[in-house]
Amino acid sequence: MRRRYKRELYAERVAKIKELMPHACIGVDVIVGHPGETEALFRETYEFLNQMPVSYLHVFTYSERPNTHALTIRPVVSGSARAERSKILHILSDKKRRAFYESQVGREATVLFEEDVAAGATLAGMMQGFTENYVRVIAKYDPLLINETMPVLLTGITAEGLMEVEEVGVLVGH
Amino acid sequence: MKKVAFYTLGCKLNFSETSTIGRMLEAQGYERVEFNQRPDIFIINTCSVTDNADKKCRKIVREAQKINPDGYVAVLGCYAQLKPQEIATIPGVDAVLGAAEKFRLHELIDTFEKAPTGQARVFNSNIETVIDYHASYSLNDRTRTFLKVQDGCDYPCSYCTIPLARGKSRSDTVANVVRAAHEIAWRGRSAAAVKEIVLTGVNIGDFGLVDEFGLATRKCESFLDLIQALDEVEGIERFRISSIEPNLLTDEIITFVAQSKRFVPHFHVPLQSEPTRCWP
Repeated sequence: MRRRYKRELYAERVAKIKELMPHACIGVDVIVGHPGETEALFRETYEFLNQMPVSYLHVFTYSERPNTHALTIRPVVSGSARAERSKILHILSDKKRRAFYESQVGREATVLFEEDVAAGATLAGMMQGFTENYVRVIAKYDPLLINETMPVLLTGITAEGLMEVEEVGVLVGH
Repeated sequence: MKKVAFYTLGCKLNFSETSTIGRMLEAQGYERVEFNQRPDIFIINTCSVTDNADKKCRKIVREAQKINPDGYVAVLGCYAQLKPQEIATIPGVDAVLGAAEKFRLHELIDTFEKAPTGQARVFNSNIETVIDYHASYSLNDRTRTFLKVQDGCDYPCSYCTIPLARGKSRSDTVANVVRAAHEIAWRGRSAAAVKEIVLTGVNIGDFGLVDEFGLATRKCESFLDLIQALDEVEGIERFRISSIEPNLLTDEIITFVAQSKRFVPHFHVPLQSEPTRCWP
């Protein structure tokens, strides 16, 4: 009963957010490998998340903590199963993020550009920022944009999974 | 002028608290330096959620000793609350400060002298008695600030030690958080403008519990009250709600965010997994 209630409540909250804010970004914290998580229960969690219109997952691999109730629950999930489940949900998260980003291409958004230069050799000379709804955006480095909010058009997704943009009116994405 | 350096493990709440504790020490005349700039005092703010809290803590202490063998090493925060004696026996550790005591660092720091015996001093209280609330916000990054609005948690989630490390759920008042947001906006008029505030806590949807004379907590205000008030703060372009439990994310909160001026359409909602949660 408790489980059903919980799952319905979660789905209903997500539906409410999407009803009022169709472009809202929704992140999910999820633990894998908690004691008692059988293969079947994990698959249920996977299927549930797969159906939800959420945008990304933060996957935590369960680890034992002293003085917690979980230590009394059986069966304990093996280390290899914990790692495998984490991997599966990370792949699901990438898929969700990709789908969310794709749903944003062609929209206008406001980006807050950050100071940090984007990491990675292929991103040299670029800078990044986030839209209101947490789409990570990449643009050509321009010190004038640091810590500024800027209206942009979201134009497409790079191989690294970052959103390219055009400044509304002026091209900054290339 | 004594030099002090911080190392922070774990969550954004820890980062906001380190930042505030650091500013308190600066106001007292300590010079804040990087960890590798040979500080006189090393302060390590620990985490109990992070894997291998113990291993990480030992490694950072070893690093500190390499950088300055005469440096004073203080370990504080969540892991220090849970395992004070264990940490006290780590070679090189001079002081251990728990959940309440980390906010007394500014009072204690002037007494920090390395003991000839190498014996660590332990400042720790029973977590049941840790009920004070200490406001904090980070100022390390000019783009965004992590503003603490709540601390501790009353939920008995099966896997989690945070209630043991941080104590009961308690919050700031709406008025105090709004004042802090104005302060951040005011600082933002200088070159280091902060454009975005991220609301931070352990269980922020539980906002509004305020301690009464150390006896009990009372629900005075709600998270909805908080975000409605913050939405009016001029000078901050965006507010982001970091993470909120689904049972506390009410229709009213969602509806408010949908039409708000400054709260962005981004939610982070813990699901965890099927057998893990005990819902209140």
